[in-house]
This record gives sequence, structure tokens and C-alpha cells, in this order.
Amino acid sequence: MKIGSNFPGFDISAKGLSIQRKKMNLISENIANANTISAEDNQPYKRKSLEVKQSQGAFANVTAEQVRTIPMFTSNGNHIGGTNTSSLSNPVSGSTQMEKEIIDETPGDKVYMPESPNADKEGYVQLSNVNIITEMTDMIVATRSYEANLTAFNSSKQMAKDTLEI
Amino acid sequence: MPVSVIKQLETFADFCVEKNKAISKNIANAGTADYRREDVVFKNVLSESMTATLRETESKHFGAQVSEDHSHNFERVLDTSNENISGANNVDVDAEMAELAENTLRFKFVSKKLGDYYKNIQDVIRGSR
Repeated sequence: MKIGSNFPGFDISAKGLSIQRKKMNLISENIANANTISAEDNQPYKRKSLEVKQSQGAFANVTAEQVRTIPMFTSNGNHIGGTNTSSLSNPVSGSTQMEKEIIDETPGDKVYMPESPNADKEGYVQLSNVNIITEMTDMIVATRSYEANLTAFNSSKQMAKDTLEI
Repeated sequence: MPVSVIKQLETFADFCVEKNKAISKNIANAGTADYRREDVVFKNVLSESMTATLRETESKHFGAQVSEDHSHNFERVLDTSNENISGANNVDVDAEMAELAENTLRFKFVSKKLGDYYKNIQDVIRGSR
């Protein structure tokens, strides 16, 4: 049995938790800034979201990692030729996911408000592209996903505890 | 319980750990685009066969046997089905959660069984009081 710091997959669950938390922060930021207009360029706030991608070839690394073994040296016919696993690096390390903050550039609604200080020549005001309903549903998704990751983390913790009882 | 069974249980514990990692990864990536779910499967049946024996240099020696290395009997596979279950990829969070619970219980069983085995040996050495 190989027991390391990465023993039952804590890090991948932790990474999932961290990503959901970041998403949650961005959603809060979007909702808080739904009516904000930038002081510098008079432009409305633009919705931010987190894009999560899996880095290329992550799975290939995993399989390669598992095969890399060093056979034990046997100098005598009576020796037992065991194998010695050399893989120390963690195949499911956090680097398999890449996250990027992206800014949604689609324009928001234009509303006719000639008395507003932000109105253009025709009297229209460009509003932010934040849609509260979308943000709310995204928030539910983030919360549920966070819970799922937490359950996975707790299972891993339970397994680690059980190992100590052997 | 023979030593080979303990070896098999150890392999099963390793399998559970590996499976737990795969499930955790699937759950963490449930919303990741272009992700494909992973699974851990057994390649071949865990056999009780003995491959090597300890050498006896004297007739009074016990001919103990060493069981084979089971550590590469399972492997990670990529589920390449193109069903869109979670909305972004083929991860079904409900199924993963169910499997996670099952896997934890399986591991609990293995660790208990292994723990009992060593406790048994300890009892034999000490003499039960």
C-alpha cells in the first residue's frame, strides 16, 4: 500500500471546492455590481465568469505513471523478483484543471433615460449585462457542486481514518 | 486467514483508494467542459495462486510461500461515451455520489477485515486474557 500526502484524493476535492468558491465570489461580485457604472470610462459593469478547463493529456499522464515500475534486481535464481513502483508524483494533481476568469462582452440593454447623467446624445443609457436570474441559477449550481465536493472530501477523510485503524 | 488472502485484501484496499480518487476527480470536474469521466476497473480476477516460494536450505525449514504481486490488477479507464448527463460532460453526479458511498463502505470492510487479522495475530502472541 502506498500512503502519501495525496493518499485518497484530498487534493482533487480541495481543488473542486476552491473552484466553486471562486465561482461564488464572482457571482457575488456580479450581483453587487449589477448597477455599477465605471467612473473612468462611463461604461457599465461587465459580467465576469470562471471558465474551467482540463489541461491536455492529463489522462495520458495518469496511465503512464502507473506503468512506470522498476523490477527488483535478482542476482540469484532463488531470489523473489518483485517490482518496485517508482511513481512518486501524483497523477491526479491539481494541475489537471485550469481556470480562467473571463469577461462577458455582450452588450446589455439600452434604456431611454434622457435625464440620467450617463445618457448618450440620444438619451439612451447602456445598462450592465448582468442578468440576476442567471446569476441566481449559477449560484445554486455552485452551491450544490460545493456540497458534492465536500461529501467526496469527507468520504476520503473517512477512508484515511479507517486506514489508521488497521 | 492465509497470507494470500491478506494480500488480496490489500490489493482491494489499493483499488478502493484509486477508485476514490477517480470518483473525487469526476465530482470535481462535473462542470468542466470537454472532461470525460474516469473509472477504475479490475483487469483480471484476483487469484490465490502462489508464484514464488521461500528457499529451504534445511529439512526443518518451513516452506513458506510468497503470494504474487497484485498491484497492477486494476487500471484506470476513460469513459468515452458522449452522453451529456451533467450539462457539460458525461459525469452523472448522482451515480458518482452513490458509488462514492459504496466505495467508502467497501473500504471500511477491507480495513476492518485487515485490522481484525492483525488483532488476531496479536491475541495469539499475547495469549488472550
